[in-house]
Amino acid sequence: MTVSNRLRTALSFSGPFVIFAALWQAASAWLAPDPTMFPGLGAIAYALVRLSAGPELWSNLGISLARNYLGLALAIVAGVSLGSCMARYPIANGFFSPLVGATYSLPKTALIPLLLLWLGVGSTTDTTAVFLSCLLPIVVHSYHGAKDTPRVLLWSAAALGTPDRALLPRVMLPSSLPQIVTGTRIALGFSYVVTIAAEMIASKSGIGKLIFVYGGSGAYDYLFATILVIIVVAYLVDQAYVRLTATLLRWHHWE
Amino acid sequence: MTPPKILISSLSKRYGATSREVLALEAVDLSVSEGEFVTIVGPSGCGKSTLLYILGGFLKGTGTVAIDGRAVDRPGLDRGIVFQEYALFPWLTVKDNIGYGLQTQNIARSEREDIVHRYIELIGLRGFEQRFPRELSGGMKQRVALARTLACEPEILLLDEPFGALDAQTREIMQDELLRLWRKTRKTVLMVTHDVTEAVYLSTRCASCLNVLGALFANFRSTSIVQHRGKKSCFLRHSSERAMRSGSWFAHKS
Repeated sequence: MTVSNRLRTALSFSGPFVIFAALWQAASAWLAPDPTMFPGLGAIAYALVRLSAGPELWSNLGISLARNYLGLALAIVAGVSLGSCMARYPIANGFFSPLVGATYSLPKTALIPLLLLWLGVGSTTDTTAVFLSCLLPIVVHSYHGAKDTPRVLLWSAAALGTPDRALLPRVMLPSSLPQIVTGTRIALGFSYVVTIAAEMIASKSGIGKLIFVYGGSGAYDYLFATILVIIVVAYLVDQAYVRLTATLLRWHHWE
Repeated sequence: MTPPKILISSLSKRYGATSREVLALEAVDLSVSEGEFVTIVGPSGCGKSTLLYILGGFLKGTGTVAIDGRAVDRPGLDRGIVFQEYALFPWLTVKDNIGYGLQTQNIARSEREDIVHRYIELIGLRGFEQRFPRELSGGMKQRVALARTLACEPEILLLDEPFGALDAQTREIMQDELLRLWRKTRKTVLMVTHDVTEAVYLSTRCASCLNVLGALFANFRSTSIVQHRGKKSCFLRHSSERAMRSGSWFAHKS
């Protein structure tokens, strides 16, 4: 890539952010009745520097991310198992398909108060909430991916001596990998929303709790600084995920 | 008397629900001896592929389908199949695709490598071992598919329009390669195609598949291909067979 191309890419990427920041700053300066309610970029940057100097942000971020990715990891294991078994075995599909269909559009955050009642305040509730929200998109994508395995692949595998019980792990699973990767990326996006929502309602720690406390005490510059951190982390993880899966799926022909 | 290699008798196949079922095959009889190269020609939708899938053990029909006198009920390594759409495992490299059937048979790694290497040489794809199917041309993919099937040394090759997706030039090259392989191995081959010229060129016997204008009737009629002054000829007698190729059922290719 030439230097001017690089520059153009950098500009077209950062342009929308610059415009958004300018609008934010303008709104903060002229529209907000009280500058603490709508802090300007300077105040947020200052809060960010103060936050990153102390342990509070990092320890809570660590806790939140641990809950977040544990919930997601459990959802991947359970979701892929369930989805691919539903695609392979009609009896599993007959039992789970109505349940999945009925609960797919239910906002899983609505269950947080109930989970709080059952599992108490803390990581178990938060992780369970993340798990439940991430489960369904992964089940659905994994199911469709496995279901869409071309029959000639299954037939070829059978003709080449693959026993029936090995068709799922040896053919349907790898064939559905692109769809599983897509479902997991969607779930990854959901997971932060649910982690933070769950922590706001049912936790003594974590980024969600931090945001809740800052919001409650009127420290909006700290609140936005915290949100900014989680946005950056989520973005970087998503980019890393895209690169990693592109390597993993280098055999796949994306349409 | 030894039974024929492949024996199909009064085979029928229906698709779909009982109320709206489609008859794909009705009372088909066909027998193939060991070492024969038989083609089934016919228009699309006449049930010729269905016949092959039943022989492969992928679908079930009613009637008799037997290999060496034993009824076919499931896929097996004695029958190798090659599909028009290649059906290579896209997540495996060329090498791993060819070695797949050897691996399911638990053949030792070193021996497997030897066999795979030999087939890669045979199909002329040295240097492409680590490529994925999506990086190959249609002709290369079909060579790999053929090699993957042959590596398991099946007794019978079932070919489902194997060259149907290739361009004319590649198709001719592949036809010659297939003939060369067949002369070398003398496997029993049953091939489905809609290309009459291809059928006559490749096979020792040709079965035509008739489907009278969408009526629920299909029949197979087989004809020997005779050598006449070095040219292969195929005579088919039925009037609708002639209609199938607008009266030019004296197909030949030197």
